[in-house]
Amino acid sequence: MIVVTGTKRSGTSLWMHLLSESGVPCIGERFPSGWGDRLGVANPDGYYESELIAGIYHRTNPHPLTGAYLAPQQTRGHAVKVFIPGLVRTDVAFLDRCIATVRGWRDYVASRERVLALQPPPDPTVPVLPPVLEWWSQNFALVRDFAIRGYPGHVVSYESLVRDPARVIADVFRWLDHPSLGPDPATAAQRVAGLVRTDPPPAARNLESALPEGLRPSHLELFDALHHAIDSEQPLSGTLVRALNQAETELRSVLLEHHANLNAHAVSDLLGPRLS
Amino acid sequence: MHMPLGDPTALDLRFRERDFLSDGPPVDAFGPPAIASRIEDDEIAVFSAQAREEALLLFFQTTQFGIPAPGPSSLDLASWSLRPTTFGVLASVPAPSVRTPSQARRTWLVAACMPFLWPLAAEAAEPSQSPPIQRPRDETPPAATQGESEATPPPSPPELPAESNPSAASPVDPAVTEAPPEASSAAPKPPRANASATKASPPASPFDVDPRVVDAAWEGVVGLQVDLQLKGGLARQGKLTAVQRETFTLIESPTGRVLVMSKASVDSLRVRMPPPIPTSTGTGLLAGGGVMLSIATPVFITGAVFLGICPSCIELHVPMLMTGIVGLAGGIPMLIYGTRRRRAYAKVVEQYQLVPHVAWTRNEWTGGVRFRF
Repeated sequence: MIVVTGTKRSGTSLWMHLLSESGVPCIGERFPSGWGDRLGVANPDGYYESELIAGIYHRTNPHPLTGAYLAPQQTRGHAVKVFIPGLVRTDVAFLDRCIATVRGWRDYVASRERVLALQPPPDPTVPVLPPVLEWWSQNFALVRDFAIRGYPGHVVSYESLVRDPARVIADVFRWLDHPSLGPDPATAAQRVAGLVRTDPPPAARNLESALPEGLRPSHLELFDALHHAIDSEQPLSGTLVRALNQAETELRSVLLEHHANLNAHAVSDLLGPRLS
Repeated sequence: MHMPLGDPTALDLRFRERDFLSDGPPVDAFGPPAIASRIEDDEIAVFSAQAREEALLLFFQTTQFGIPAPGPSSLDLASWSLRPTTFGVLASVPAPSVRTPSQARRTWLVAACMPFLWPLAAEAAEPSQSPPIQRPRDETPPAATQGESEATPPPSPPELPAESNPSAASPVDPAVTEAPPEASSAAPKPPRANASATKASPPASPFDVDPRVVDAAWEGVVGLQVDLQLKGGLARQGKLTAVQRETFTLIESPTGRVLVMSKASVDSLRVRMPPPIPTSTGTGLLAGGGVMLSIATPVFITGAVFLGICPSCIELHVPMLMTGIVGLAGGIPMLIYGTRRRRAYAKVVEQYQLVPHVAWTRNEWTGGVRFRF
């Protein structure tokens, strides 16, 4: 499969839109029912999401209810959107090509807050991971998974896609080497490059002034360095990789605590109001 | 690990091809651990006193497919479409009481969790003809006799729901009005078959809906307080006062606005559940209080009369007065509390007639009525 991955609000739907418009068969609905009109404002071109956004692995394939099975050799040319937590669960046999998009953490935080504002107010008792930590945990998992499992993949920044869509899309289409893109992928890229639209600039806000617990300014500089390396199409240096691993060690306890709180809330919600 | 040729210590993330590692796979890392892990005998979760007194609702999502027929299979992408409704088994584990002690509650929980322990048995089982819950009753013929059931071939795997059809997987815009529930009435009704016809005709799909069930479900909620979940994530609350062919009338709470809404705009409709029926009806208190008052009142009056006639006859009026006072002190509160409990019981029972539920899934309406005793 051609797996399009990234965090939420990082351009995954945009890539699916480009591939779909270019004739690549896609798994997922452009406008899944139940999303409502409000989220349509955030992604007017659609979401292209399916039940495989949580990964293509033993819990999702064969389908847990119908038993339908997607074989790797059947779906080599299909594009599917999988968020990063699902990517790391996905069986490597399905990862024929993986397009990952990384967005700068400041824009990501602003965009996430904008989408959350469009949704009904969340239950205040449910633990919520601060968006900046969500950005870090998922993008670190992405890089680590790329490095460990060695499947064919390409990481591109959302900003470079918006800045120079014709070139970036043409490069990716050539690499995909998909029959639906024709003998000259650059032509197909030129045709769909106009579909790339720029989000309105996020509201300026000093995100550094209210850092979540455990996060230091040096971490934010590291996040910027990671995004800069991807945006400037440079490999991650050994020094940067060591710094990323060090930051992961420092922030792991915060993330584990969040997951524990989330699990405890789920158990409490299931079994009763008060569990001791 | 994929490394660029220029810098062997850097990690290249662009246009990577599949890595072919020259080293052997690290199979030793996946061998048995040197020290066997030991399961600690710690508490996993402890029910609080309040949680023990409440009923538990358990939901189990069940598989709905058997072993596929041999032969080439088509690429079924629609199975992975997002769906708003999940089918499964809902079990209510009652709170422990005199009749259902905690031992029975534990048995309930263990029994309900059994499918997790033997998943293979569930996967190899024949698919059931009628799903356990959330399906309207279809017009299946009455149960066949023993001889007929032996002659009837085993049921074929159930037809996949309509969303499994790739042609039905076209994007659905939630803003576009979906087919009203009456659309299901256009579908041919399954024939009311006799025993021989049952063998010839395929089993009715569990998703077939009798429109009369839908109409009955709508009619059943008229006059009740309901919670509506509308398409697009909106919610409304109020009293459903009338049902028309394609619309219904709702008096919204707490604004009092009268809304005429389309049935097709409703994702889910749920009637507000009345509180649980009290275990005590107050009858015992009323009877006991009445008996005590009927005895204590004349005794007390007699004692008071003796006190007026013969104040020095202590051996007569003191025991009578004491007995009367004790009887009155016990009987009057028993009557008061008994009356209160009786009223509360009658009020709840009045609300506890039936609890209907209808919901619009992707392709059809589902409905049901639950009676409580």
